[in-house]
Amino acid sequence: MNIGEEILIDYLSGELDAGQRLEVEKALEQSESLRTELAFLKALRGDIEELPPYQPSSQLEAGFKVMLEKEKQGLSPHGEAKVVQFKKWRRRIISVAAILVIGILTGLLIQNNRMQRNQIAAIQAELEATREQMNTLLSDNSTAKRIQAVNMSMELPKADQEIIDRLVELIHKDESANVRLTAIEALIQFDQGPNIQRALTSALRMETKPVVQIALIHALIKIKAEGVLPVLDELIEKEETFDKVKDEARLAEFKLS
Amino acid sequence: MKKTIFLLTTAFVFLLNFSTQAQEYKLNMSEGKLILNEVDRVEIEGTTGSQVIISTEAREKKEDDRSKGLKEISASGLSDNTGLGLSVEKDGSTAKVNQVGRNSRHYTVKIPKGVSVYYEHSSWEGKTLQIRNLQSEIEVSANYNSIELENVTGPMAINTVYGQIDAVFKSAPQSDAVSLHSVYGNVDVSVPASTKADLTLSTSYGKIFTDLDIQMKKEENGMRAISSSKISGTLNGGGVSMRLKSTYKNIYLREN
Repeated sequence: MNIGEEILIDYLSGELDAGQRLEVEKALEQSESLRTELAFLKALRGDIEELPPYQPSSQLEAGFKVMLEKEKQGLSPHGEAKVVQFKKWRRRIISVAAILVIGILTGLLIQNNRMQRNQIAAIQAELEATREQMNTLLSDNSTAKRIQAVNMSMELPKADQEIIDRLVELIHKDESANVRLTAIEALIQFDQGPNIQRALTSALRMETKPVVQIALIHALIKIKAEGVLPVLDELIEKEETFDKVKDEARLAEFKLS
Repeated sequence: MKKTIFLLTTAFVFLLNFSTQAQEYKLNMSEGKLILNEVDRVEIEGTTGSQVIISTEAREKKEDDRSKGLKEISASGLSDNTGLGLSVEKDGSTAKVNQVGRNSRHYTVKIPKGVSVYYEHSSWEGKTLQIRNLQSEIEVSANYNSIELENVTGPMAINTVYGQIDAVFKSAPQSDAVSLHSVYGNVDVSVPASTKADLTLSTSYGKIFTDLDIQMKKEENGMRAISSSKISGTLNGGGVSMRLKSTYKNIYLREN
């Protein structure tokens, strides 16, 4: 089975049968990129579910009421023969209502589905375009171009794993302190989870520039990364650590413990 | 005859004296990167042409007699190959300028348009770095230097720990990235009122002041983020990205 975005969406909404589910799960185990995409879709689903619930338009509701009134007026309360008539009418009303309800529900489902797909497609296209531009800029020798790439990522409402990995890589490896500083700011804007806490902690262990060390310490305080405490101890112990960095490390130990 | 010889000798001695005081060093370079490493007092200026020109004022102090016939060397193994107390090494398109040992000279470095500059300094001896009329890209990473920028139009990424950063843009910056970051110093920037820019101004412990009309960015839900520590907004509809950050001191953004 070729597993694309649509199948993943069905998988998430529980619309696959057991066999298909197994197949998807197997594929997920093997493919990192598929897992990334699933995580992204999941996050997106979370967002969509937070949208306000659908309210039928007042016109639709009013129309339904008027029709109900008309049907009611057509009823006669007297006579044996008319009881049959009444039952017939009641059945008719129920079936009309049922058809209406089914129609509205189907319409809603289709609309919702289409909206979801459009949104996913739009966000993915944006991500794709940004990623491509970022990659071009990041391969440039110019510091300003690489900072521009990081700035671009900050404009995104949400970053996917690939962009987050790229930022982590910049913080660890870029030769320019200015690029590293900007990337730290971008990264904690998107994610403050345990993986990011670990990534920033290891970056602090490697970093030698005081200005970046201080920025990392401040970021780690902000995301409450208690795991950094041993690295702060190391920094304070090390003779060659810049005095102000030692002060910042002590302050961070106080704030985090 | 004696008189002529005397005059000639005097002229020769005078010239010799003058040339041993050669206060200028030229390097053919019209592209690539110039790295200024641990040079304490520097003024960087943009220029036309295809030469990097480093000059310094005459030494005030008399030469140390004891050092005659000796060459100054430093702990880093660098030696003065310019006659200015600097060592210059060129490697491909990159040239690296190091200060050899301690001195109190003030250097002026003229930079052709296509050459980008990287200035790095770590010790407390770093003094104010002045950058004027530069059109090419400049990057600075320093611990103690304050930085003054005047009429610089190229991309710039500047950081310093203790120093403050003052920038005067007579015309709006043209490049797409301006990033000024100080940990313990003020960041003070003035721009023309017509500047089109995307702004991010942030401080953790300081304040932000401006007399410009910044349009705050609205979130998608129509709300606007008001926070004293980070402001995102635009000037005149947006344009050049300008990030100004001072962790402990203030940010001043003014109209010039």
